[in-house]
Amino acid sequence: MNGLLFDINIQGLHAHFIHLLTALDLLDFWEAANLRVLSVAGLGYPRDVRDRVLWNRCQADGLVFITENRNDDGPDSLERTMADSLAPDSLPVLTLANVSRFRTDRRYALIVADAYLTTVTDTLAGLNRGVGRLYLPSRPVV
Amino acid sequence: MEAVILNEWLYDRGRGVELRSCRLTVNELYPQLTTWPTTDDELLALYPITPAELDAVKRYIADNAEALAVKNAEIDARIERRIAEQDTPAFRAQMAAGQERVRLMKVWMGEWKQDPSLFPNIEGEPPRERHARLFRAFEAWRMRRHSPAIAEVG
Repeated sequence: MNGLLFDINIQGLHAHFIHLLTALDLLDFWEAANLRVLSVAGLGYPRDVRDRVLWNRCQADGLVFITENRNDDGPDSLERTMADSLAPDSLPVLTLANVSRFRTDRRYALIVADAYLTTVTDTLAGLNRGVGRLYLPSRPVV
Repeated sequence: MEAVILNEWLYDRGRGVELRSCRLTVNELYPQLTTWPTTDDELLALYPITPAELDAVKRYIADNAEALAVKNAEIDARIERRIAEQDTPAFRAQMAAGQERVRLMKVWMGEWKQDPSLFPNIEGEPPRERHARLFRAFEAWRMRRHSPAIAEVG
C-alpha cells in the first residue's frame, strides 16, 4: 500500500480527518507513515473520470480508495467493477457511511476517524485484501 | 452505458444523476441539501462545484422530491444493512486487535520522541519500504516489550 486516494465527493474532508486524528492523539503515527494522500485531479484525471478507471488505478498503484456509496450500480460503477474485477490481493475501498453526520456530529466523527486509522493501519500491515468495501464506521453507531 | 443528458449541468451515465463536470451525484448531495444543515458556502468549499451547478442540483431535487426521498431512504437502508453485515464477530475481533495495535503504536511513538535513536531512519525511503521498516521496528519493539523471552530467542 502506497497511499490514499480521496474521491471528489469527500476530497474536502481530508483536513477534517487530520483534525480528528490530532484530537485522538494519533497524528504522530500518521505522519511517520507519511502516506501519500491524492486527489482525482492530482492523478491527472478529468473530474468526470469513471469509477472503473479510478479503481484500476488504485489497484495498480497500491492506493486505498476512499469514497461514499450513494450511487447506482451502472456498468462502470464501483460496485460493478468490484463484482467483476476483485482479486484476492485487491486493496479495499473505504466507504464513509454518512458524510453529513461525519461533518456535523463530533462523537460520530471521532468513531469514524478511529476506525479509519485502524483500517488503514491494518491494511498497511497486509490485512483487508480482497474484501471490497469496508464501511466507516465499522459497526452501527446509535 | 451512454450518458443521458438531462440539461446543461446534469446527466446520467449509470451512477444516478450527476454533475457533468465532476462525478458528484445528486444522491451524494441530497442529504446535505435536505436533512443535515449545510450552507451553500460550506458546500462550495467542500466540493469542486460552482454556484450554478449547486442551483441545478437544488432544482433537480425540488422537481423530483418524492422520488428522491424514496430513493435516498433506500440508499440509507442499504448502507445500514451493509454495515450490519460487515459487523461480524471475526471483523470485530480484527478491529479490536487493530485498535490495540494503534494504542501500542501511540506508546511506541511516545518512546520514539524521548529517544529518537531507538527508531529507524526512514527519511527519504520510498513508501513501501518506509512502511515495512516502520512495522518491523514496531513489531520488534512490541516483542521486546511484551514477550522479552521470545524476542531474545528470535
